[in-house]
Amino acid sequence: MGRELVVSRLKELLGSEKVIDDPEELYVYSYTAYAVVREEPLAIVKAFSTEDVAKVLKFANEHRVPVVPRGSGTSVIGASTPVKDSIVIDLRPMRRIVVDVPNGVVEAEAGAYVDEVDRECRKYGFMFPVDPASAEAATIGGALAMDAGGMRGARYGTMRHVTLGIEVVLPGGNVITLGGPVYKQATGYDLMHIFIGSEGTLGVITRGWFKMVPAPKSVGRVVAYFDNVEDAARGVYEIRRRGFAPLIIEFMDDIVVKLANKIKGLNFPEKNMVIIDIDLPKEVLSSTLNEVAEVLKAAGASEVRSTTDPDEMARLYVVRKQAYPTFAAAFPFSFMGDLSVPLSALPAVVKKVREVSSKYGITIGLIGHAGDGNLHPLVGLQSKDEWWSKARPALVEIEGYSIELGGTISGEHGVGIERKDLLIKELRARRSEVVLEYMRQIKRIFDPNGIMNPGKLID
Amino acid sequence: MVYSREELLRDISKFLEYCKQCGFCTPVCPVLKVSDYVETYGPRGRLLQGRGVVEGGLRPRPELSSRIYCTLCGFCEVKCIAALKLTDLYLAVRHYLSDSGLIPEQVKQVSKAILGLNNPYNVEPSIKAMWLDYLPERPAERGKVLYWAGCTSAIRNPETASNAYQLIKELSGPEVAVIAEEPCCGWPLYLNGDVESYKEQLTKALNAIKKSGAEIVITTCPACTRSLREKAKELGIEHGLKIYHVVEYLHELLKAGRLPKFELEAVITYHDPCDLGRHLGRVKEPREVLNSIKGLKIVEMRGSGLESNCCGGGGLYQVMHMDRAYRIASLRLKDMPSNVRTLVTACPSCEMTLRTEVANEGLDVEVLDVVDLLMRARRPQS
Ligand SMILES: Cc1cc2nc3c(=O)[nH]c(=O)nc-3n(C[C@H](O)[C@H](O)[C@H](O)COP(=O)(O)OP(=O)(O)OC[C@H]3O[C@@H](n4cnc5c(N)ncnc54)[C@H](O)[C@@H]3O)c2cc1C
Ligand code: SF4
Ligand code: SF4
Repeated sequence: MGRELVVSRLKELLGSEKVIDDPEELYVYSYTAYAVVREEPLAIVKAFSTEDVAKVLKFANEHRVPVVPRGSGTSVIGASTPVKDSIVIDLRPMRRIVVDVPNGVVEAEAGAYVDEVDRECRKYGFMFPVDPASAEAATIGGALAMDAGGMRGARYGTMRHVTLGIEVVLPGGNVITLGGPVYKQATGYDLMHIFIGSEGTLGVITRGWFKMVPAPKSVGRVVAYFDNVEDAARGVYEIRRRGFAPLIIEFMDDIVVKLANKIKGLNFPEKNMVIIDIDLPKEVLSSTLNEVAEVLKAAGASEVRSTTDPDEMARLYVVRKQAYPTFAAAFPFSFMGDLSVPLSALPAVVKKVREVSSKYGITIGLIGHAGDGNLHPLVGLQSKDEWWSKARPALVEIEGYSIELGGTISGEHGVGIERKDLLIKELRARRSEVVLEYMRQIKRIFDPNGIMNPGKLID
Repeated sequence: MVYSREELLRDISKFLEYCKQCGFCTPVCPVLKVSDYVETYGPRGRLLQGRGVVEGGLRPRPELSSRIYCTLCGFCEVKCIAALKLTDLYLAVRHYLSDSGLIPEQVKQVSKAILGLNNPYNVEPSIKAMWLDYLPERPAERGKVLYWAGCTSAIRNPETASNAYQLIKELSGPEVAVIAEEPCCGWPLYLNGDVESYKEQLTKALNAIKKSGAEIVITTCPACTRSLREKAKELGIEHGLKIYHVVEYLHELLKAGRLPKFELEAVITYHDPCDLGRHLGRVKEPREVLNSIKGLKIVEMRGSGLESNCCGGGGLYQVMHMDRAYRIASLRLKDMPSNVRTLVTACPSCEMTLRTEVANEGLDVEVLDVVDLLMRARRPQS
């Protein structure tokens, strides 16, 4: 079906104000975060309701027009990059949030920002458990489709672990609800979890119901600086072994700290850094922070600071907060990798990153949610050409190495276009290549005509 | 001289290189919020349209111009992961569109009004001077200290202009002058990308100031402050004048212990104007001045300081998209703390926009400038 026909039929179905195909829009929507490839869609639909989405999917399925669901386009692996001759559905106009206090549940439409949902929860003394670094921009739909995680992952897990139910529109326009606003459900195959992390390849998620958790009343922060990474990893391991249950455990290597000092005018000790937040009742908080500090010192930290003062806590965190902005401002081109390993493998990953960095002659720093073994190599480049010649092979080596260490090629950023080869590598290493075929079969069940975000996640 | 595509490319190439298309700038954009979240109306979309123009992927056309216009509030810059000064890029693209003859018709009318009648509101100069009728006496035309009302205070908020003049006179002695036929400083010309005409208009304004014998210029308009002080300096125009926004002036007096005692039992909230807060960095100063009023309590709005939400009144956006601009104002009014009925600000455009929206919605809210509040809080002189 040609562009004009698609656009005019969509306008008939939805009203012309919801369908856009101006050259400016098509051009702008062709880009997504850190995009290496771009493609202009046929048209963009602004979805204001589940019915809007259903109408588009019915039409697209009948006429076999590819559909790419889209939140804020912050996915860094090309998951939301339009495919050729596709309809992009922008979910951001769907943003209703309802907090159900008595049941401890928050319901949110797909286009609401994660941070916005968190702020709603906080009005009632709760918080949204998952906090990706991109929370201010990432949408609920995008976070569900990518199974996003965040700093509090060690405590609460990823989107998968906090979602109670979702509403999904399937190709063909059927609307189904999987799970719901209840904390338990034992009613057969768990299809909801197939959609979480499906990267828009099965259907469009239009709303979700989520667990809320109590917002901590008193939090303290311990920051430890280590001369060597082995000690830092041991420190984190000791914290967990002794039964402390931190809210966050973040790691940053000395390369990132050094660069942040330089670019952002900061003055942090240029060492490997571990940041631990503890939330406990006021009466026991200070003594627990002291114990945590002692454990980290015993593990080899050369300097440890702890505080319960919110301003000081924020000050100690500045350098971590500035990690992405540092690389973004220091290099015309920067990219981020993603891997997850058993925590004991942290020193091996750091060693590998250093080797690969000097092999390709590019800057690579390492940050991560050390609490759940999820690490992000940050790569800085002077020219875009270096992506193919240096950065991409470097990331393939590092992320591929995580497989050898018993880990995975993605902790939270997903597969998209850019990691499909690595996914195959990982499945092969586990002698489970057949999983790809199962995935394809699952896709055929929900999306027999293959219209949903084709070419992403699996071929 | 026409600003060419090559020059545009030179001026914005750093933005294009460093932008990661991460979208972190998008959620805060007031224009995006009232445009159904369609990307071209947000900061990432504006930057990418600039890219399309210089790289040839997009043909400059009126529809593109209409999307490039935003309120220039600068909130996206605060959130930009690559620390880009995005409003400079938007202005460079406006400059290019202007020189390519693609200024939107509504904006053209503003330029015409400034060049013809010396104000962007297309009113006769005598009407602009009518605010002087609010004063108890005719001010001097010459003096060391000059109150520069600016077009918006003079035409849209005459009471504020009058209060400002009287307050400045009380604080700095009788030598406060006003230029009866005050020309426009030209800022809207700069905003619509007509840089050459802006330079001429700015020079005209500075000449008028010099003619008044002024050494110190105090204005209620933060956009005039940016124009007469910051932009003039950037363009290499040496004028030797000390230019203050009235809040900066009051703050200097406060720090020197020369601000008299003010007293007023009231609970207010403060809206940071984008030009004064984000663009001139004056966030603590207005609060310190307001806090010097005995009995006054400030309750912050949702979104304040450098993270303040825009009122919709800046960047000539209102001229282009009136309805949406007032929807932005409506969103801003929803940021007010409950139970607070007085909204204080320090910019005539914010004052006018928010006051109009308050009237549109029939709200029980009073919108005042800092100087209006201070005049109310004066202690009876013994
Ligand atoms: C600087 C930076 C930091 C980041 N930090 C983190 C982090 O800490 N943790 C983390 O997990 N991620 C992180 N990310 C990655 C990204 O922000 C997340 O994957 C996010 O969840 C994507 O949300 P989005 O709304 O931008 O989705 P998009 O990018 O628009 O879409 C992502 C995928 O989801 C699909 N999709 C979107 N909406 C729907 C829907 N309603 N139904 C079905 N499919 C849909 C799209 O088709 C696409 O495949 C980061 C990104 C950046 C740029
Ligand atoms: S300056 Fe303000 S209105 Fe303009 S793009 Fe940035 S956030 Fe949006
Ligand atoms: S935040 Fe900065 S780098 Fe990211 S998309 Fe916006 S302008 Fe580009």
